Amino acid sequence: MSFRKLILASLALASSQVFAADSLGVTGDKFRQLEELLPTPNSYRTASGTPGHAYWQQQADYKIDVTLDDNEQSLTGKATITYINNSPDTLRYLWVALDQNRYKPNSIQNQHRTVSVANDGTDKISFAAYRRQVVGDQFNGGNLIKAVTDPSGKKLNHSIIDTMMRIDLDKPLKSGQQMTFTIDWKHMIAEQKVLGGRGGYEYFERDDNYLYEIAQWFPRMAAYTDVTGWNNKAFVGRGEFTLEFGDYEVAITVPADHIVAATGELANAKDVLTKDQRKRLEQARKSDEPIYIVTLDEALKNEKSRAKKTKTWVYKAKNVRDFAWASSRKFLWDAMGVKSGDQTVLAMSYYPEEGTPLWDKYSTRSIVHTINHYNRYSFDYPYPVAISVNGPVGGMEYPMITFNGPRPEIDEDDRSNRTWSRRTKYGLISVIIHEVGHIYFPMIVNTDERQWTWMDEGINTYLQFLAEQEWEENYPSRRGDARKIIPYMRSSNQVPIMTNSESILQFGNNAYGKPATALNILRETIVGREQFDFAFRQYAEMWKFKRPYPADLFRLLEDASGTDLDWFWRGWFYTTDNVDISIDNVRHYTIDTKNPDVEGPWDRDNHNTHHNPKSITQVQNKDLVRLLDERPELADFYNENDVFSVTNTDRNAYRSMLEGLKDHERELLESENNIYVFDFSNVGGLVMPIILELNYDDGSKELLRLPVETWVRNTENVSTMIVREKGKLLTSVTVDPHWETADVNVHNNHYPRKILPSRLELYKGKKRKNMMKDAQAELETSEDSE
Amino acid sequence: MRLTLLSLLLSTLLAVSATADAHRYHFGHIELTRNVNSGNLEIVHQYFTHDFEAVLGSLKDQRVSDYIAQHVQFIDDQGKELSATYIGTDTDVGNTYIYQEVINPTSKYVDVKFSTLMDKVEDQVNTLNVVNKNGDTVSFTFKFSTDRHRVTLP
Ligand SMILES: [Zn+2]
Repeated sequence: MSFRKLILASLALASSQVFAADSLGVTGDKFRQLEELLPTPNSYRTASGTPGHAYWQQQADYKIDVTLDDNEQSLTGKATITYINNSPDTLRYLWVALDQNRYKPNSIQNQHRTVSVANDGTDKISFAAYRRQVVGDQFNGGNLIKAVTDPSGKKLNHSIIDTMMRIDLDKPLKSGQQMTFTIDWKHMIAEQKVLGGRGGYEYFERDDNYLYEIAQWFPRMAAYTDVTGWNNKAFVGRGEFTLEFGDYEVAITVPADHIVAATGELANAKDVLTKDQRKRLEQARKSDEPIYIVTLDEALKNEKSRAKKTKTWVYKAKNVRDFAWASSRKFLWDAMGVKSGDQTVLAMSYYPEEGTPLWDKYSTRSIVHTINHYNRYSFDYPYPVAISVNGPVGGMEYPMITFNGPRPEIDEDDRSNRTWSRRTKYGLISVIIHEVGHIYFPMIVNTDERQWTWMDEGINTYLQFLAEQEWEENYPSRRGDARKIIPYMRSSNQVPIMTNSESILQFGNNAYGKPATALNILRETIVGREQFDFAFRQYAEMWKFKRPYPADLFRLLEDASGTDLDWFWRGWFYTTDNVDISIDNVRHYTIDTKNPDVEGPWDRDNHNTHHNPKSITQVQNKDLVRLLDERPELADFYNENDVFSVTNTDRNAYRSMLEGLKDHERELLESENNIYVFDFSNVGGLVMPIILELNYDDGSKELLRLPVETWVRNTENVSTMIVREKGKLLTSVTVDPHWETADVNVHNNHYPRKILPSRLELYKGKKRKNMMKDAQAELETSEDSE
Repeated sequence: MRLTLLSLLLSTLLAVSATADAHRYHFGHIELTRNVNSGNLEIVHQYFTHDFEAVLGSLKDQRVSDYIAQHVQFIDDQGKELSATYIGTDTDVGNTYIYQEVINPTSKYVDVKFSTLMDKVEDQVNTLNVVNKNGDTVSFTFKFSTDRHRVTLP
């Protein structure tokens, strides 16, 4: 690094600084407050990001009777909905979501998909796309609405627009009023493994049985909010649900040998469970390990039964935004209690024998683990049960109940021989943490999924990362750590996080990975754990059982953390800039003492050692005998003194300068500190704190964090100075030594520059240990390998 | 005109909807860099192990190498296919990295075909980043309908 002297100039320098001509338009832009982008605060939503004094939301209570037909895989139901208009507005019609209608051959969902025919002359389309279209066109899906009636039995006018149904009211529903109406319907259940979706049935050929995961199955009230009015975005696939809270009483009639898992508490255990099962459930509540309610042997016996009769399971749920259930005669069932605040929650798992022995070992434990840790970061789990069901759906959440896919592999020649890969094991634990985590976000903190996928997925993925890291050391989390998002962040083909759910390119990275990473960076790097955890808990507490929008989250986290975060939301959520901070130069200075007797020799030494290599002529003439060597009488004053020699005139000038200085100035002048000036450039565009590791020649290391405000006057190039005592000599500097900011280019993070091996070189240099084999190696699952 | 149904490596069909777990990322990534010392073109692929295993089953070297050769091609400015040597695969629970190398290509540009995983998942989006010496990155988006781009070599 260059080594020079620093001249201490008088304060006049500060005022002579030149400001950029366009300081607000460009350089000020990244730190501009968000007010002009966010909706104006009002009495419903405050400028602090909390619900306002006039906050309101609608309520919808449901009483439903539904019958499952196991022969034709259909549902027939009758829902009586009581809709309470808490808004200040008068409603002339109601909108109801019929999300099963996505399965209609002529639905937007079935027809909107732009087919991808390769345009390279090969005219190819994928089998998957073709089969799905063919099957989708044939499947007789969608809600068949038989009747919409008022309590007196009078038919109500209604019209259906794709997945939405409008019910026209004879008399407008005024603010504070409520009304009740009944919908009779039927729909065919889709085969999930063929048609996809967030629910459906799975057929098991071996034992000729069905397993049902039933969701988006009844007519649900569309959301009516202070921000959007009625939600009128159809369900086209990605943007999930936006719903109202309410109380449910659901009577589910199924074959008598089925076991039913559902949102809520079982209200008629005496009618549907054996005495033994009820006793086991009570034991489970007090147990600190899972207890079987239905054992493997019992489930295998049930598989063979074919009940002619039916049973009706009645579930009640308070203050939930949705209701889902699962039913099969194949289910094993285990449960254990977990403390949550003042109550004990029953954590329960339902799975076919195909899930063993992975599910009995990990599922219920994963639910308990999630509740323990999500409670710490948000609020106490408020519901009586938390359920994980194994079936066809890969991973999906509903209030109190989640559907999770991973299973072990079964050797069909010896069904007791079951193996699973590392990925399946951690995939199962992770997906259960994720889906149970969704019971908090968005099932309780009721964000609008149809508009903003990231608000539940990003936040939940962030907490999932924290919970996973508390499962075991080095838990292989797929998202959350800053370095995992680098390839995506570097790409210029991104869309901002603030993009509607349906229009996102690269869904997983955009709506899950990037926002989760951003929150983790806020916690670890920007705000600090203690303050961020406080702020996040405030957000969760203030908005539980309410409906926040992005502006509320942005405002509240800033308000509660006491940290200006507008620049962060602007950069990470509204742009596609990335972090790439380069350290371009390090300059080393010491103070010019102005004392001629100190500076003269220093200058001479510096001149000779640093600035003036001997010319080639000087080198070649080394042994030349010169005139002056032979005639020393030709020498005078100038031969004895070089330009660095000190004269009395210099000394007098120095003395009179010292007299003109104040005491503290004189002291500074005599300090023998090392001064380092670092030059940074912001290549990626995102402004971020600058994190530096400083290495000194005495072997010591120092971690230095420069605040993001370092960039506040110039967001492209900045220089900062540090002062270290005499003898503290810097040898190298590294930007972001722990890779905590997702800096996309580490090659410019070192000064002096380091030649870093490429990824490929690193891979070649690794002892060719077959990592793949390790990751693929299957676990022994026999009893004695525990 | 006749449509060709793209034949699949494995015959099973996957469910296609993006459920809330987004267990599959449907994200493929290639980074192209020029090694300053050797002049070789280094090709580093990244996929999500879950996505990749869903297509290939077990990740045996020969399978991966064959699959990549089939789905990723580089045609030089003379119209000849560059031979990209398969170096190896590195995989963990989350990510799978695949390494390839082209010895000192002199071509100014290459026509890249990058259709990894697209035979299985129609919303697969692949990104190729060309990282130039100064760190500048140029991104190309590959989808089922546009799985080729002309790319200036770093
Ligand atoms: Zn999710």
